[in-house]
Amino acid sequence: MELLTLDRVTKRYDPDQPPAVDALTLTVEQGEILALLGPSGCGKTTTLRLIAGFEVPDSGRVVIRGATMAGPEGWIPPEARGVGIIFQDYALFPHLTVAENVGFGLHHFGRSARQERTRQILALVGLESFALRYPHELSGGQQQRVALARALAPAPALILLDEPFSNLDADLRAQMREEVERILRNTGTTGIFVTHDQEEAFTLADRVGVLNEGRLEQLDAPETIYHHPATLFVAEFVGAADFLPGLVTPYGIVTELGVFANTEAWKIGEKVKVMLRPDDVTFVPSSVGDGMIIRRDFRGPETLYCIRLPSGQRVHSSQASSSLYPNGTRVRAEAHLIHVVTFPV
Amino acid sequence: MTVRRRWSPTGLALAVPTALFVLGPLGFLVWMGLAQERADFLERAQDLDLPMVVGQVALLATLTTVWAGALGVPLAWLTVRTDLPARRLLHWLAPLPLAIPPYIGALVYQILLAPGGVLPNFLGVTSLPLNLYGVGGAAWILGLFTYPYLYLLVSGALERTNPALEEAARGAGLSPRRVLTRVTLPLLRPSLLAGGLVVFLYSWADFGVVSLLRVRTLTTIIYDYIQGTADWALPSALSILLTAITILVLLLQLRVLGRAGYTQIVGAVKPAPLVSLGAWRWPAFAYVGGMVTLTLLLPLGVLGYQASRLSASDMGAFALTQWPYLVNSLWTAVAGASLALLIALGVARSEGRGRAWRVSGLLQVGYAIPGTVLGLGLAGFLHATLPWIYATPLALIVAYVVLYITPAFQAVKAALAQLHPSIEEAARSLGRGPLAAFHAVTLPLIKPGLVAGWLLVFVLSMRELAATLIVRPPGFDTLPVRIWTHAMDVGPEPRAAALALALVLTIALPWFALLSRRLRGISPSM
Amino acid sequence: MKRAAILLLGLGLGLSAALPARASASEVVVYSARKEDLLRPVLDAFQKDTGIKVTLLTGKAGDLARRIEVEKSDPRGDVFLGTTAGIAELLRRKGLLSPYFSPAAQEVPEEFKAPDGSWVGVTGRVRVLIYNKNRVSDAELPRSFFDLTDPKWKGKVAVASMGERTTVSWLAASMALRGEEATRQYVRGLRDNGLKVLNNNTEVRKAVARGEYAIGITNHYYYLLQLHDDPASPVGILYPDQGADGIGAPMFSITASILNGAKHPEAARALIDYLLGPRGNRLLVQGEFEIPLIPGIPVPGEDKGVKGLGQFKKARVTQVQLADLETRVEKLFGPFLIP
Repeated sequence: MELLTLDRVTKRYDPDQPPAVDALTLTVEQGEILALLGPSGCGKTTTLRLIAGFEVPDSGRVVIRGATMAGPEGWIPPEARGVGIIFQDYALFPHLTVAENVGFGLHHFGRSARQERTRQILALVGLESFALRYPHELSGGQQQRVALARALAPAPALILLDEPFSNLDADLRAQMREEVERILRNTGTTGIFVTHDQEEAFTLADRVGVLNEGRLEQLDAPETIYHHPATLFVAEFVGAADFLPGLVTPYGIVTELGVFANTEAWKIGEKVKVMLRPDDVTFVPSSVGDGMIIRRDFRGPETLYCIRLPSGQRVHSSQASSSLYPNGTRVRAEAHLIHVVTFPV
Repeated sequence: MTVRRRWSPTGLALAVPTALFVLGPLGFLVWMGLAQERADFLERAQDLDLPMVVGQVALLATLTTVWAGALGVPLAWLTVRTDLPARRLLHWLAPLPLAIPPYIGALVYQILLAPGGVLPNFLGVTSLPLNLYGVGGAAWILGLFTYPYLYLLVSGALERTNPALEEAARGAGLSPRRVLTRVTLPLLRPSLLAGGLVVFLYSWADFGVVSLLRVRTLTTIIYDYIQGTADWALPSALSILLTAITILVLLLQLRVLGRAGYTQIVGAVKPAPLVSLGAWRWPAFAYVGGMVTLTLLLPLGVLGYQASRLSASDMGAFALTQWPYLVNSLWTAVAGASLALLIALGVARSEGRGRAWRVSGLLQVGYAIPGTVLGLGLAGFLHATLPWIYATPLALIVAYVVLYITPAFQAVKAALAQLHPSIEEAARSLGRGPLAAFHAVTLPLIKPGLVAGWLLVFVLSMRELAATLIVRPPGFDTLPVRIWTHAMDVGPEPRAAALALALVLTIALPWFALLSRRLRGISPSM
Repeated sequence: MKRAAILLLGLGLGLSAALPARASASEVVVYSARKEDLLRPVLDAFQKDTGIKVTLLTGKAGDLARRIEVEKSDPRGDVFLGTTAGIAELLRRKGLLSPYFSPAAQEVPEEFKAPDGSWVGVTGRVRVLIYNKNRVSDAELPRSFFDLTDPKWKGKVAVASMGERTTVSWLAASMALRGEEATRQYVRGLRDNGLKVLNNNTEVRKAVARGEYAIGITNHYYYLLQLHDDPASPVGILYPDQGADGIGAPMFSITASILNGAKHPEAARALIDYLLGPRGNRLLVQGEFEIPLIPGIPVPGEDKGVKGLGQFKKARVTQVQLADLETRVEKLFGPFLIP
């Protein structure tokens, strides 16, 4: 079932500038977790604000659960949309206790019902014993949980998360990521979150939408985004990639590292770029090899080598961290592509 | 991401009439001023030696600002950043001289230091070698009673300064003294400029102190023409000149502040470690104690002594007759402060970027109009346009709003600036409408700032004399008017002192209430 | 919002408190340029004797004149009490006064009345010199206002600013009797001799009593007020220009007038009758330490050297003549008469 539909939504802040969100169309299914990924200024936060109702679209339509929230026939204010939101700075109310923060959206509940629901939600996020604290007395992770609890309390159909983990340190971030996913899944809440961190998007989301300059470049499962990027922008933004020039021949695409299948049916004689992920590239040391290791980055679980090919083209290769070859080692590089992804030059 | 907002209908509905009440009186004065023949005005202006007078006022305002800075800035640093003995108490006492109107301060020092005063009599001389009368004496008094403006802004900024910046400077190898001059003070520049401007403009437009201490300024000239003659043209022309100069100063400040407007509002900054004064602890305490004596104890003591010369029964009878005037003062000041705050709140909330400063900047002009000038213009303007307000207490309320909307606006803006818009948006996403969200979240969070702004306007309105004299309805005197009636003509006699004491206490009480609330730490955001 | 509701309520109350203050039958609104403390006794007595409520607005003469002018179409005041005839005469010419010949005014000499009855002098004051006995010996005393340009008085003389109408009237008297050119020279002489202009006459009397200045040019009752304040003050009074060739000491009167279109004309007439009547005028004269213009009323301060009408040489100039010249004085000497 479709929970949210954006239909050619456009928002422009400044008439002299390109639109912040440009004819954006997407649908989100009930219970799905969607990540909006993109560099800063790509329009992902604006998209979130358009869904929440803090911005009015210039054109297009926002539909939640079949009801039009914004469109030619009218505009529903944020308080009537039933959309929960978690801000980057959490936006906890400093003058209210944790319990009062969580109960804030339950104002139409009765007193005892509100208390019961608050207790329940606090238990869900593991903060029962902090009910009477004030936000400034909590750690960052705890504040994040309060923000989550507050947004979940009115049982919204949809929760929006704006860079929710960017204020946490690395190990807390992983832990919270897991916990937020668990809670969203357990409560069956649909979530849309905005991030510029692809790892976060990949681990958490069912589908990832990549945004660039207000346009949706690709909306797919994380694996598809990684292995079959639809555009050069997605290929470059998501994961590291090198692009090897190739020529389309009747036998396939001929490149410096061998011939690849012409899976996308390019015309003979065309010049293309073949995408190489570091894990696609291997090498063996060889005194007659025409490649040379020019840089080695130790990364813990893996080691990343940069190899210069005879044409001067550089490619990256990811190897187990136990491998150890000094700079200047002559190597013979090979590319093993399961999916051949090519782009026009 | 910043949200661009246009003017909301409410904002416009509040700002436009207020702007009208600012421009109307000025327009009336221009209209009357045009009646003056140009040549005649130039001739008389020459006789009045206007360039000399303007230069003298500029000198007075500069001296006052420097003196107030010399008093307020070290005091702020000592009470906020050092282990000064009794620093909490002093931090609490320091803004209190605001409750003493400078003209009452001048009266007190006149009793003490003027030829034939207490000190010369005690020393057995006619006059002291340092003359209280003149630019120096006026700057001395004005500085003593206006330094709290600077103190409040600077101590607030010091509390908000991120100590990490100073630690970074220490890390870069600067000595503590160099950190103070290279980092701390430059960071205070916006608040120093803002506070300095308030003091500068105050002394520029002051009437009470300069007239008591015999300094010729544009305001005393205007006042003398207003008091002594039925002439409209010359006082109008001079009023326009005075207002134009003050607006010029304001514009200059906007330019300067525009470039130096780096405020660093950081939510949860850990307080800076206190500087240990070491051997300087007690000398510093003596210095601060001396200031409190000069600005609080001495004036209150002199007023108390003068008032105590009334017998108890006389005092009782006098209190009964003066009671209605206190009530007049109270309710007009309360209404004026509330109205000013409401308008400021509406305008500040609907104010967007870009074009918005024009109308709110216009509101600020009111602060630059001296009370005498505003009173004169407002009386004529109201009578011509809104006769049902003219010569009613409402005219006083209008005058207070026009004169003091600026401090209210600044307080509201400062309070709102500390709130990230996401706070109110969070409330909206939790099902509260705009008004409900404002009421449940924004209002409680900005309340301390609003209360402070309200109190400031209340205090200023309670003290207002010059405009009140001109626009008050017959029989509707305020406390400052009564003090003026008793003191200006007859001198600071016991009844005037008793009234002045009553005024100071009325003003000081809510101030105490505010400060004690603040000390209890009402909100973490303050 | 609660706050707004309370505010509106407050405003409403204020409005309702403000509006009914208008147009009650047994009330009179007095615009007075006189010191309130000195005027109070007679107004209180009037209120008690007649049952007419007096609402008093004290201000400076110029201030009140402007207010009356602004209110021309809808006067809020009934009676104007001025410190000299100048402002009243100005108001008369602008058609802001309503003539009234009080029966009680018959005994007031003609020179103190407007010919058309627009204003009437109720009491008088004399322009004199006061001096500090510790700084000036009797032998040194000047004989005339015009002696004060003598270098021996350099920096020793004080006068009140133009904010006090009597300062303007004083120079108007000189203009009337000695001409414009002589008065210009006189004022220039005073300025070159360091004449100190103070805010008001009260400052003048206090500064002289303290010995800051040896001589003050002021009105006779400031001498009495100073002695009233502090009976031990070393001040003396001197009537200048009394010799055979002297122009005499100028006299000014407090003027009472009814505003054109006054809302309470009956009460206003009753007040003027009362101020000129035997009981009222006696209270007024005593309260103000003034000289009576009506025979039979004792002169306050006679024991301290104050002289009543006819006991000193008075400058031969009528109040109307003075009033005519006051605007000219303002124009010529205004900038000089500011502190």
